[in-house]
Amino acid sequence: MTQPEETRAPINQFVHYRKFVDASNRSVVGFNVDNLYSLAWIDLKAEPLVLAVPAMGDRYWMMQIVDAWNGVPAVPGSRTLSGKDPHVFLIAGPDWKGTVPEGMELLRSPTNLGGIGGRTYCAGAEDYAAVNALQDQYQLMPLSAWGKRSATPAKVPLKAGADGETLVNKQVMALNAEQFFSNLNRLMATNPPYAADAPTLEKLRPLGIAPGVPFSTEGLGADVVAALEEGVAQGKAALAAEMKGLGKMVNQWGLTYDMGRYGTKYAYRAAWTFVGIGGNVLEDAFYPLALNDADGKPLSGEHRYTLTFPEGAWPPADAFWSMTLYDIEGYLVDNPLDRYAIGDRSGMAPGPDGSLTIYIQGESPGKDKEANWLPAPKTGSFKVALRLYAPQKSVLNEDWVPPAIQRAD
Amino acid sequence: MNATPMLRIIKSSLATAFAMAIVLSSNAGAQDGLTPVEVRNLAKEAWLFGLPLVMFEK
Repeated sequence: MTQPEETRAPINQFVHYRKFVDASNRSVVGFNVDNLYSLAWIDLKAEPLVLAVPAMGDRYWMMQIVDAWNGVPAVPGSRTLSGKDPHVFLIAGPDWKGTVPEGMELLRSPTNLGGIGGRTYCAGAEDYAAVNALQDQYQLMPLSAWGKRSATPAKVPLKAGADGETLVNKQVMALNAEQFFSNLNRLMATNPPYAADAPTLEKLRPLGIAPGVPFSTEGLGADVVAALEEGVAQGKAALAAEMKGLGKMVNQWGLTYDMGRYGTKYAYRAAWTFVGIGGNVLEDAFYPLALNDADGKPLSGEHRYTLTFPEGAWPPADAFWSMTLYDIEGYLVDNPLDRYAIGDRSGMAPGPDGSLTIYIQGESPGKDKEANWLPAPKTGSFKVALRLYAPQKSVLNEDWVPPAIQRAD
Repeated sequence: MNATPMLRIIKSSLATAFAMAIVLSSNAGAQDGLTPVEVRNLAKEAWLFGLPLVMFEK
C-alpha cells in the first residue's frame, strides 16, 4: 500500500472515513453513525508532528490523542476550543526538547508510538460533502515539513513484516512468552511506562522485564520456560475473566466511567485495550450499552420494547446524544427507513408529560409514533448503544443513568 | 590517604562499571533466582501489564 486507502494509511498519515457504513457492512462492528472518523497511527521518535485543524464553526469535532498504553493524554476539540479560528497543534514525544513554534499548542505524548482518533460530526448523507471538505483540510506532517512546500509522500511502504490482514488481537494472542516479552522490552525503550508503573517495573525486573533489555529464554531450564508459558496462559485467562465484567451494570445498562484512565489496574486496562484502542474519556463521551431488558432477558426481535426518559431526565449531553441498534454481532440492522440510530437530532416527539419514549421493535409502531421508532431486527437478539457526547455533570458524577428498557408485549 | 582526583575518577568509573556489570548480569540471567512458581506469577502480571503496548505496535 502506498497511499491512504479506505480504511488504512501509512504511519503519520490520516485515513478518512468518508461516509457511514450501512447494514450491508460486514467488516466493522459497533460502527457509529454520528461522526466520521479521521484516524492516524503516529510515530514521534524522529520528530514531532504538526496537526492542523481548520475553523470548524459550530460543528462538533475532536482529535483524540492516544498513547501506546491506550491512555488519552490530550483531546483538543469543540468541547474545549472555539470553532471560530483554525488550530495548529504540535504533538511531541516524551524526549523532545525543542522550542514550540509560535502559534502552535503543544500536545505532549508520553510515548513515541500513538494514534489520533479524529471524529467529525456528520448529520448524514446530505452532510458528507461538507464533512469531507473539512477532513481534506486536516493536516498532519512532520515539524520539519511545516510551512514548506511539501506533499504527502506517495510511496510509503507498510512496516516490514507487518501483518495487515490478521486481527491484531489474534496476532498478539499467538505470541509465545519469549516473543511477547522481547517485544515489550524493546518497545518500552522508546515508549516508557508511566511514573505510576515504577513499583510494578521494579517487581517485574527479576523476570527480565525492563525497557530496552534483551529478553531471551536461551539457556533457561525447561521448568522456567514452561513456567513463563504458564504465566502467559494465566494472563490470557485473567484477561478473558476481566472482559466478562467490564463496567458496572445499572438498569441492565453496562456503564463505564474510567475509559482511557486505567491507572495501575492492568488487567482492566488490558481488557479495554482488547476491546478497542482509543476509547474516549468520560468528559468526551459516555457509552451505555444494553443487551437485556428490565427483567434481564436478552433483547430479542420477537418482542417490542420501549425506553422512556422522564421529563427533565433526557440524556444530558452538551454536544448531542444518539442511540444505535446493532445485531448481537455488532452490525447495523437493515430496515425500511435506513434508520440505524435515533437521538436528539432526529425530530422525536415528546409525550404530553414531557417525557421521551423510544419504540424499539421490528415493525413500525404506527405512523404517529414512527418519528420515535428505532427499528430492530424481526428475529434474533440485538443490543443498543447510547452515546452521549460531552456529557453533563450529572453523568460525570454518576447521578444520571439511563432507565431500563421495558418489554411492551 | 586521600586519592588524587584522577584516581578518584578512575575509582568512580570502575565503581560505575562494576555496578553496571551487576545490573547487566542480573538482567541477562534474570529468571535464575526465581522459582518456577514466581516466574509463572510474574509472567502473568507482566503479560497483562504489557498487553496494550505490544498490541499497539501490531
